[in-house]
Amino acid sequence: MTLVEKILLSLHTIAGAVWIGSVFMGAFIDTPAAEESVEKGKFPFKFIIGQGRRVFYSVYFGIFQLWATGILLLIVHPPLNSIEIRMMIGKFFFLFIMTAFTLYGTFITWPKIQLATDKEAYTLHKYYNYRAYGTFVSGILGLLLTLWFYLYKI
Amino acid sequence: MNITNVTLKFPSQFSGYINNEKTAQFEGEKFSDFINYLDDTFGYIKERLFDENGELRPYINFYIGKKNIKTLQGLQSEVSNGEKITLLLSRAGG
Repeated sequence: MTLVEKILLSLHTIAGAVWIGSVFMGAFIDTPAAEESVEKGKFPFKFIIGQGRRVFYSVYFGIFQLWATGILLLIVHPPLNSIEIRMMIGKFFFLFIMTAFTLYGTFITWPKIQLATDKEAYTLHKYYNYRAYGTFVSGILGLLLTLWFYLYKI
Repeated sequence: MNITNVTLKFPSQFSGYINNEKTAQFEGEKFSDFINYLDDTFGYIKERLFDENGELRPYINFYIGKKNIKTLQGLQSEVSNGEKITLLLSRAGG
């Protein structure tokens, strides 16, 4: 593995860790804790929206850096055989799922939640969380494929 | 009481709750009068904009002209006839 590949792979992994970590923290720790902190039936608007505003930057840093370094890695070291090609297709599939769910959240779900009633917000956030679980699982699988892809190369 | 005419620039997520109206005509000269008009006319508007303490949700930003009402007198801000009222939501994501 060349020095350029090592640097790109490091940046790629950092971006994945930041994004996956942000989603994990939001979906599995912050959300249940926030819901426990308010009266039953009340949606924790301030906390959830506040968290969404802050996580925006880390998530979009992750998206941009993952796609940029992923494409550069593909250029400097394209897949060489059918196994690598399949792994690369899997990686892009998982990254596409993550990106699509995130963009849907930013442009559709978050604006609606900001203007929702308590009941509407709970429904919107429930489906948002399902997509967050999907993003998290896709991220983990994509990260594992990345590790296997490069360990396989080594 | 004076009648105030305003033009509205709202995101589609909010416009849907007010029948996509682009203009409004309400009695009074304060921003609170405008909100009362929306709530009385379309229903459930205050519930979408205010928290349990009756304060505007912190991430919701209304502008009268180019000025955020938070930098004016909040809900008591004066709205001039012909003014444009804009709603900006916070960028959030993930």
